[in-house]
Amino acid sequence: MTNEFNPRDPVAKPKLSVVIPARNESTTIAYVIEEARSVHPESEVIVVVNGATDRTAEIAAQMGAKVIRYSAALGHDVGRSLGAKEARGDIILFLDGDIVISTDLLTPFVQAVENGADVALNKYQGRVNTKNVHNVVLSKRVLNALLSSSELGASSMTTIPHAISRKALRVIGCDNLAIPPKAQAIALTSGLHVAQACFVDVGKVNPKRRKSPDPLSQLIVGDHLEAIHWLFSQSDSRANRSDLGRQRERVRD
Amino acid sequence: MKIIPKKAAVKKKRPLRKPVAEKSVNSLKKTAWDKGAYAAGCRSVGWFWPKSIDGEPPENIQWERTINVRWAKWFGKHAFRRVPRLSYPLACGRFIRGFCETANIDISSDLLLPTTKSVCCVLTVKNEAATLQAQLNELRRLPFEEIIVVVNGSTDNSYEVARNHPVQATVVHFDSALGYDVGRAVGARMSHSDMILFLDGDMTIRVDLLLPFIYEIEKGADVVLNPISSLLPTFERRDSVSNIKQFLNICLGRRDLHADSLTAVPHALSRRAIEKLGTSVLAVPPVAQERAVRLGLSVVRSPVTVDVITRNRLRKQNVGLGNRVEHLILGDHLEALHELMGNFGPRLHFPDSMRQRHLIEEGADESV
Repeated sequence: MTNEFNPRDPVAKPKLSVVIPARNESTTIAYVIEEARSVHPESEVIVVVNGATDRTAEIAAQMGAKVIRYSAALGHDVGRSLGAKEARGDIILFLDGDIVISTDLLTPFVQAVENGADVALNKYQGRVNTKNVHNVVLSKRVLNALLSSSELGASSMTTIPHAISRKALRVIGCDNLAIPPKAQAIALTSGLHVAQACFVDVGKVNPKRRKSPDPLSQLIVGDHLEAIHWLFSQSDSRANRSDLGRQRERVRD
Repeated sequence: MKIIPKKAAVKKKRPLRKPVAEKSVNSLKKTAWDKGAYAAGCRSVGWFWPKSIDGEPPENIQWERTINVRWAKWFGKHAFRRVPRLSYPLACGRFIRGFCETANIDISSDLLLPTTKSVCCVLTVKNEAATLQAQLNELRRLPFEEIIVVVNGSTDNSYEVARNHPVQATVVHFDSALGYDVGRAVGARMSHSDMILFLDGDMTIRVDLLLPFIYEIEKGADVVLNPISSLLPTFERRDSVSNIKQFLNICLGRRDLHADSLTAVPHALSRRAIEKLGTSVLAVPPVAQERAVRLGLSVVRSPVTVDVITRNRLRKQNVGLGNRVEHLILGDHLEALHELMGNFGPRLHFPDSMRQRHLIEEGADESV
């Protein structure tokens, strides 16, 4: 993996790397960076600007963040993968360019990793006090149950903020961060310590999705299927779940 | 017609909700349809058996089946969208009375099937003599073509109960336990009927609740599920089994099925479904459901919910075997997803058209 400490860099290796994918986020990016930088004294901020037509990159650079620039839009979560490749810290915190989260709420994620967790997730569960559940929330919950981690509820690496340790990054692999549920499946099956750190209500600030079928939720359900597919590739078609002694051979067609 | 003594009539519990749906579904002129049932029953006799001079009925006739065919034809003329919950048993009773009095015969059923097709009931039983007896008593009220009882791994007298019951069930016996849901496949394999109802020996289901399942198939459905989703709590209190059932339905593009599944009884399959799916797959119900949807069979929910959650099989399992059964059912659904992915790829119909995955390998335009 290419994301080890870079000796050519004059700056000392930071403790925390904050990865922020951003598109046209010139109105919020400055605040996001400011809050993120205060989380830890030794930190670097990496902003992955992609498909931007406004001044997002310039603002980020002015704020002293490391900016990785792509002219084309990368699509969902690919920025995390590319940002993580550049990260040099022991802890990597993932944020979004359009959601400003205060330092107080970000600190618990970093602390959780400092205290031994490999992946620190947002406790956010989505809207659950309903009978008509959203596909995305359901997918998250199903995946955790399939990974024998029902206690995580619908907490997911799809949701920001979340922080991971350097070890987790090595085990999961930078590339897999682009498909967050797959990254989560890898983390949980390889015995990494996945914990819930803090509740950050990202549902309030996420833009309301009205279109049906909503392309983003379709994408996220697909991601979870990809994670399940990865699970199959690691085991069998039942993911090593018992049949409780079914005598299938009794009936043949 | 049964005459209920007054005392019993007073004691009888009133239903919690007043059935109002019936009137709104069917047009008003149909509300009095059951009044004509007696006369229809009388008339039906003449259609196939002109009264012989001495008034004795001919022998070697399966009266239940014969009456049922006549009834189903008469009932079918009304073109109901659903089986009328209250008036159906009344009309059946009148029709049977009319028929039996005219033909001078006696039959054991007090209800009739809303179809001319033959109907089979498959019951899987494992140490459930008590509920089996009660369930068979209930089933006797309907003129089923076959009743198949699959007794497996039983150490009580389940076999004797099934064997000696006047309903004349076909009984299959296995010394060892077949495992979850395998009994259904065994029973389905033996059946030759036009549709099959699947029940479990560990609970007694009122037979009139089965009629909507049969009627849905009569109207052209291939798979009829028990709509137990309506009984589920809000999402935060749901178990992982309900969740994965719902998830599979979403993956099948059938969000409208909610968390309803072939895993739950009762459910009904048409002969067409059995032929397309095969019987062995019924041992893993979620896979059968996946195939049914994938092969274009008509999968619907029954309009009436049979509450199998509160009195229940799930609770019994959850206490003792709990986790193991949960894992079994999760595994079954994974098997279904695995088969689905084998046909449509890892992401099914949830494409990822936005991500530039190739860029993960390549470098950035410029770094600042």
